Amino acid sequence: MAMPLADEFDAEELVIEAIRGGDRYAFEELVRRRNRWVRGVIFGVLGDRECVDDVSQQVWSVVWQRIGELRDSRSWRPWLYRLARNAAIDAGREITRRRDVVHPLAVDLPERAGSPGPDGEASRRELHDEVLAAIQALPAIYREPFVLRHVNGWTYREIGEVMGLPIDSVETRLVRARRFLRESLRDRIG
Amino acid sequence: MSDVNEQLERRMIRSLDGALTEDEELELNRELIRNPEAHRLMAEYRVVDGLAAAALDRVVGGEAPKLDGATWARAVPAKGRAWQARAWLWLAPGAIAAALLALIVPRPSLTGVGPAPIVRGPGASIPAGVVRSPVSSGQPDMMRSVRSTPAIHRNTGREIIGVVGDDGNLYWIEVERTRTVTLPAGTSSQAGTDGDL
Repeated sequence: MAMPLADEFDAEELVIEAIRGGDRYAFEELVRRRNRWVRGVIFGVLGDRECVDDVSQQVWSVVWQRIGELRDSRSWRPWLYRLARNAAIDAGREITRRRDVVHPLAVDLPERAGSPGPDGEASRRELHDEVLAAIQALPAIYREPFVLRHVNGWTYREIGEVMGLPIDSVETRLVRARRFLRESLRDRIG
Repeated sequence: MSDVNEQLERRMIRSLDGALTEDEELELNRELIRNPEAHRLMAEYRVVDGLAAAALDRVVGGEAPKLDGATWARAVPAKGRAWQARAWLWLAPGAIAAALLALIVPRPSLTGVGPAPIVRGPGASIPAGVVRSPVSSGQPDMMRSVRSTPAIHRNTGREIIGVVGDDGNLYWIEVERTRTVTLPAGTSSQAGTDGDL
């Protein structure tokens, strides 16, 4: 499935090449440029924002250590996607295992504002929490392409390439994700 | 019965995702003007997308992580690591060739090799069969052997040795070895042997 992607990502190839040669500064540049990207993949798969920091840290460590396995610099995006996705899946399994063992009844609750703050800020946080909870509640097969589309602005083709889906399937999942969210947030948008 | 069918709804989503062509976009806009329910649905989807983008920004907008020293130290440049992993592929034949050369190239015998001078000083051990001479030893020994003048021969040979260095390269070392044979006159095989590299 590893294949060259859109031209707009070619600029990254030089950075990847430098990293493969052991250039730390190039690696930090890649982290700076693609951290949102990786976090988006993680959240899309995991649907748990509490773990995004830790898992993204793990992903970047693995990238540095295993970039020698990337045979073609043009394939960096599917490769990085798979690393981030697998790390998120592993983290998800661990979370499930811990919850089963320690807190069998634990459920995801929307994050509450830590401090009262201005009313506008508090209500905005509350709204964001509600929206995030709705996104987290999406079935993973809808949430993942939805987050990739919104966070990274990927096209249907790009999403399909990394997820191994035909474009029609990507479109169907994005439509259903919107329907689901619209229903979940009906009170907010009505 | 809804005035928004599946196909129209899909076109709305594709429009939000920037996946419509210019002509399709124009056609959709005409449809939205004609169809108030479709217009309302499109507006709701726009709100959903806006809310989702803002909320997701909070999740993915975290600071870029910094790798700790241990991670940097654990990892070596990837290309170097790959090279090291495959180095045996071409180092192994080199080592085998070196071993074969070491077997094939004749080497002078190492028997009796030692740091002994050609002209022995006082107290130096004398090989069996060699009679001490006052000329060579400088000792007040007046005994003179029939074979009083020792014959000295030097044989020089070369060896090539293959060595795999710490850096993984194969080094060829050419060694010149000189063997010095001291023979008393009339003696053919009893000799002291000196070796120098």
